[in-house]
Amino acid sequence: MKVLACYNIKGGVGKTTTSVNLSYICANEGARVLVWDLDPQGAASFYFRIKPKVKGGVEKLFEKKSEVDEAIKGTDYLNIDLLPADFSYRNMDILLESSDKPRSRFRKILSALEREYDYVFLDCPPSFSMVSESVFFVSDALLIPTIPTTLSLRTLEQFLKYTDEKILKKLAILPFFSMVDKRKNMHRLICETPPKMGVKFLKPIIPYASEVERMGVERRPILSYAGHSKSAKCYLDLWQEIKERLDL
Amino acid sequence: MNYQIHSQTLNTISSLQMNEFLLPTSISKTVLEEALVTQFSLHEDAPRTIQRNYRDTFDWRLYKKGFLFQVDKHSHSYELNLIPLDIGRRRVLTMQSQPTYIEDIPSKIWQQQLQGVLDIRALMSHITISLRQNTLRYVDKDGKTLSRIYIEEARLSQPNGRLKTLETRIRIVPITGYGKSSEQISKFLKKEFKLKAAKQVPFYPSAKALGLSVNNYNSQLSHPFSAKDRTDRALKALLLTLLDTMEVNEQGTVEDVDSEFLHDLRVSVRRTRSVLSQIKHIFPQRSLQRFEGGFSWVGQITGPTRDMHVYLLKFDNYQSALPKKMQPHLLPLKEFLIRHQKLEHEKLIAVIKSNRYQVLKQSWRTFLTSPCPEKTSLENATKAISETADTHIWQAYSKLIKRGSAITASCPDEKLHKLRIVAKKLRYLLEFFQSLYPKSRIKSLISTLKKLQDVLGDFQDLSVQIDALKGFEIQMKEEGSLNPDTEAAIELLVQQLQSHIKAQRKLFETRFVEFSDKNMRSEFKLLFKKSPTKSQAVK
Repeated sequence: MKVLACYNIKGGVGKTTTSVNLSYICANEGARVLVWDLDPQGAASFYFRIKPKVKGGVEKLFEKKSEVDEAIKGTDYLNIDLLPADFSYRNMDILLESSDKPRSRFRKILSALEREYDYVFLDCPPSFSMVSESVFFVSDALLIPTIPTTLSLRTLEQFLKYTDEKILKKLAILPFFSMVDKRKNMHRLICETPPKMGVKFLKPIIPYASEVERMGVERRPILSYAGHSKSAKCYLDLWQEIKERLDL
Repeated sequence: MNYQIHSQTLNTISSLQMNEFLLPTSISKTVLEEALVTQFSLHEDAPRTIQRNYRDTFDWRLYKKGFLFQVDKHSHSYELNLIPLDIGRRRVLTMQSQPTYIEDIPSKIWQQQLQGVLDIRALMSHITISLRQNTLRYVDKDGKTLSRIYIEEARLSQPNGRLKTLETRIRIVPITGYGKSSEQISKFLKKEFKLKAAKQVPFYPSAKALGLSVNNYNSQLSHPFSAKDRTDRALKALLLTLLDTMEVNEQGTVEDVDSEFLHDLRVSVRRTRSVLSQIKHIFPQRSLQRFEGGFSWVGQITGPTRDMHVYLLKFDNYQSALPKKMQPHLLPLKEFLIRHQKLEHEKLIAVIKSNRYQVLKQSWRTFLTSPCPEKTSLENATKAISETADTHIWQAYSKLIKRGSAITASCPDEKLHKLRIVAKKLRYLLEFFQSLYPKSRIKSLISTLKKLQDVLGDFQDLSVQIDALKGFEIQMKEEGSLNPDTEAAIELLVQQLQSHIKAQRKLFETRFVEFSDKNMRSEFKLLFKKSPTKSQAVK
């Protein structure tokens, strides 16, 4: 089972659209996929038309495997399940901090799902916290959607600077440009010549496009309603390169 | 043979995650649908016509590993479902064509899961059902599907071309985490229409109607003997099993479904020849002569196609053994092999359909099914099969030890090639008669012998490959399909194979020491070298 986390300290950069669309592509390739909506705002749950509710909240979820099984919901797509968001996830940090082994609590949940799924996509909340640290610890790769602006790049730089080197070494860091508006000079320039930060940007660029925004109205992955659109193609290319980089 | 696929009731197939009902002919499908739509918030999808295939290898490898492989053909696509029979989630994949071989499935995950099970065997359609499927989706106010109801009218394709109408089924598939919705629908159907739950998924009644068996074929020989069986009767039974195996593999060989059909056919022929050549004075020699000649002929005429199969199977390894830049240069060799495989296969089909082949088999079957005479002058015919087995295995083992011990570092390769045949004969005997001895002990002997055979086989194989590749090179030149790059690639390949030969020869010494050690000798002695007593005839 491979664990791929869509992460960025910043919000509104396209983490959830990435999680939802890549999980859909991955499932279409015959893989069994779980999306864990870790963000209390529950956008991934919304896109899959599933109530952002976990019975007993985050505390119960960390208790035992049966609670995780209980919480998992099937989406409308055969190979994709969702572990929904819950408002109590806003307390996940506090819960993990009070724990002796916060990282292994996270790992325990995922190990229990090993036989069930080939891929887990973690749709992370925008923060730099105990939750994100635990995510780094359990993941095989971090997919980092990044808007090509100075501030966004600065945030990525800060993330690389302040994250424990040991963790970074075992993780594949895969940033890519997202919400790109080619009409903007700055976007265009940054995408053409990405800054050198010791990490290699994935080549496909996700555009700022109306069909991506339409996901909020359609409440489903782009490929299921605009499969031939440019954005859909970009996500397909992105997944292809991720597989190549991770040898999947 | 067992002609019954073991039934599994629905409640043991948790992975199918469904409740299934049979619709009696007294209840109209339309009435039922209307009642469901009135009672629940249902969305009706457009009806679909599906051709459902249950596919597996000829020897049911997937089923035996606990999977049903269901392929639903829709108008423009194929939906593959790999369904675990016990626990676990089904895998679903949509593709544009029907997969036959593992490499046809465009998913690394699927390939990884199936590789060890299917190996090189093809997926064949065992059961075909034509379905008319109506789908009703139970949705909540957000448009989220909570449960799916499938109403399926099905017709089973029979070997005579006719369609057998199966009972209409109502399948309620819950979505994970929304089990209550499905329960409500099930309760409603039970209460309002008094529907009864189906006890089996449609695969089982269909398999039963077609008389299919998952246990009908095993390429591993395991014939059940009783120690006191008369040798002539016991051997006729064994040879009849081998003839059945030959015939069972004919159709797949003719259709060239996969290379294993021809392989298994040839193994049966070799085993038959091995019995006839090793165990003498059982049947009148005069009767046997024409069969020995006949099966030797079958061995020969099936050889060239098998050779082409082998080299095509090895091709990927050949290619990856070369430097990356050189790899594409080997492709003309593949084209050559495919071309010649087709030509040889055509010849093979003609032989299998020939009068000579058919008469050989028919007269062999007549001979094998005719009763053995009560009294006979043939000295070994009436011996107990256990005595025959002991004697021949011990003789073959002693011969192998004697010949193997005489192999030195400087003796010619030919001696090793001959030793391989001696080892193979012993292997066949151990396999033929394994049911007469304690299972674990005989298995352990076979396993050690197999290691020795592997080295001898690889050694022989390398020499044969080198000669064959050189031969292909000449043939390609004659046919005008050899360019200088391909020639260089083949020559590098030959050099590499030659370097492996030396290593194999060294490995032989180690393996032979293992095989001929004290413990093995005493085990062979204990099992097969019985103290000399006067042999007793069995009536």
